[in-house]
Amino acid sequence: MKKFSYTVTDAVGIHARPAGLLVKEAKKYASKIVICKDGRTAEAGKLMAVMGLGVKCGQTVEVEITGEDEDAAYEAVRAFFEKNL
Amino acid sequence: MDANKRQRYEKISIELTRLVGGRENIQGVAHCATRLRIVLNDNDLADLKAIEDVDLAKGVFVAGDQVQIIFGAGLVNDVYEVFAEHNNMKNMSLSDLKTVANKKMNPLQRIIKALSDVFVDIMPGILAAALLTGLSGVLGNMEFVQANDTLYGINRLINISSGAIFGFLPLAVAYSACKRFGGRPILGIVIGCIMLSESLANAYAAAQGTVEVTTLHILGLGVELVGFQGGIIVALLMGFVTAKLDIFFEKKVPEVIRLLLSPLLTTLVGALLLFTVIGPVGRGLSTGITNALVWMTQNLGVFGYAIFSGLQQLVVITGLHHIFGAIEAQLLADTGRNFLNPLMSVAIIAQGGAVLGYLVLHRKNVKTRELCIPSFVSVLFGITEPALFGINLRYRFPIIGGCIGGALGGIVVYLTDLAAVGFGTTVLPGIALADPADNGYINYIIAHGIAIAGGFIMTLVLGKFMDQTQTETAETGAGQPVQTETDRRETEAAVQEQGMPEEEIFFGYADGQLIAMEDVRDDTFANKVLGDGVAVIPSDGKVYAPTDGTVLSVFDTKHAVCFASGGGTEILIHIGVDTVNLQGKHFTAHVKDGDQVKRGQLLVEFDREQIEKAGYDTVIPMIFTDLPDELTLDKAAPCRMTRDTQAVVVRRCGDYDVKGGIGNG
Repeated sequence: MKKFSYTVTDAVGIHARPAGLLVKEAKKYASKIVICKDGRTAEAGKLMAVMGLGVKCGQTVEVEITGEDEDAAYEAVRAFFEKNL
Repeated sequence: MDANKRQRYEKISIELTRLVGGRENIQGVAHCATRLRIVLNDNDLADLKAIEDVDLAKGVFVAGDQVQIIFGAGLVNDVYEVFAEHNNMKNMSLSDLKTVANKKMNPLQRIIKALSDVFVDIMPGILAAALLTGLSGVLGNMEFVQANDTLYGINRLINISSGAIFGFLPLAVAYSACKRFGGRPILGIVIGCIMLSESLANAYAAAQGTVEVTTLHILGLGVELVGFQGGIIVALLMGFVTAKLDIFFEKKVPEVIRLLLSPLLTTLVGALLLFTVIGPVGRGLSTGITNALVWMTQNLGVFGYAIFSGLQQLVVITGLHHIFGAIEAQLLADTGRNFLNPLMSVAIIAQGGAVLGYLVLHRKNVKTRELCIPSFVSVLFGITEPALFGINLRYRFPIIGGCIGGALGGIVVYLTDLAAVGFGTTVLPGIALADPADNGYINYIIAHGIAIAGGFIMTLVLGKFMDQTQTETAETGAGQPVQTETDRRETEAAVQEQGMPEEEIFFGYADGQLIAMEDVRDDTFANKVLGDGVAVIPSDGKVYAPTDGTVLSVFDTKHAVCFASGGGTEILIHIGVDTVNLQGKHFTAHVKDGDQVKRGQLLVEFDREQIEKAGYDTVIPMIFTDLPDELTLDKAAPCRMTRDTQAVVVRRCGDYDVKGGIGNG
């Protein structure tokens, strides 16, 4: 399992559009990607769940990646967060 | 489709027909988004290996009683057209195919399925009438209501309103049955009107002998001019016959004179059959049952009582229980004691116990709760139709539990020698009628207590063995903000097994103009990054729930709502493009996370003009996020949208669980 923390800097947080892109990105990998915020978790492959977290600017999320392609997924998802969020 | 293609598809059709065992082996055909689905009499006659090699076929497999051949989206429609034409089986929908598949159920199952389909359609009307009947029964017994002109007047109006639908129930049933069996609903209504025509003697009055009945002589056959008030069985039969007549004449009458002749012939033949054959047979059947039951109570002692109260509710299904009224009146006149009333009353309350039992088994299911609670309340006032048709008969085992409870109550009635001194009301209001002799009131309560407990417990016990909807999965109803994939699939499966339609309709969620998702001027939406769906260009600033369901979450910025339908389909309604930047300004949410909402309920209000002034597009996409593979979207073409317009129909394509990834419909 690999994990990283990220503090969202995008002014509007993880709203519909970035959530959609994130899900798309996450679905490319076989690994299970879980986003945690304040004890609540959401699978990154599920749009409703990701949006349901309601992550706002300045909040920190933990991302856990488990699976056979976790290295590649880790790099990609981390890059996605840094670029878009 | 051009001539070349048609020729190619015709070749495919001929080959396919041969390979599935010839035209005689084909019961029906339909298609979904990617597959041609053929219901066969005998699947073994189909040469699956050879079908795989048919031109353009991408795969083939058997699912349930269907052979499904994958052609792919778009292509399958054309192949279906040609194939269906080739085999004279046009215009079957997936649900027709189901009906064909249903024919493989045993006859009793089929009859019960049809019965419950027919009644589910008219349930709202029956439920309203049942509860109003109860209300008026209670009010009517109160002295201050009787004494006050206004209250009396209002109660009288309630009474008239409640009585009407029961008086005209055969009409509603004929309509619904005709529709269910594929006829045009209006012809069902016409037949229903004939059954209740004012020119016929009222059936209740005739049963009590207060009106004179005219008898016609047609070919030596006596035809009594009596209406069919309460004639549910006859109405069901007539709805069925009318539908078949309609289909027959629509097919046989040449097109030039079809509109002139076909409805006329359907109505005429239907009416003749009604008065000469179906009416008398239906009536005879029900009278026979009724008389037999009464005979048993008089001659078989405690067994007779138990059988009567055990089976009385089955007579209610036939609608002929009103005849009991006449017998009760006779009993009172002869002996002053009406023992049928408490027997019926315990039979009624036992069905209520069965409803409660079913409710306990499925207590977390919202739909079940919605149906069970009002049904039970109406049982308390002696009206069992909603309970019978909505739940007990529909799910089969509760009715058995209810009948057993009724029989137990009947035994108590016999042992305590319970009787009534009047007739007409039962259960709660009925206690006023109980003969007070020998602790009559207490015995009345004991008998009902045992009946309701019997119905309740027997339903729980039977549910353990016979409940087809898995309790556990049915309990994962809506209300959990984030469901796991398995949860959702199971909920859907449970919902489907409970006789929910195979499709869910999402109605207009905003007034305005519907456009295709591709036409939204924003790449994320137009390219369906979030999912497929439709969009509305709003004409005012209100967003409504497109169907019954649960609000999963309202964004803090109130510009988007995550929503799950009753069937578990998740959608995102997103108001405007980039409106997240407004940070909630100009938006007012009227619901909060976890709210259960009804179709058409206001979700969010927004100030369209201000938002547009601020430079944002106010288009509202409705996106089906995470749509499972077995569901397909049938999107309405661009049109004016209102809350009553269908925007999207979600259809279950892989209704047979097809695993192994042979392409998804």
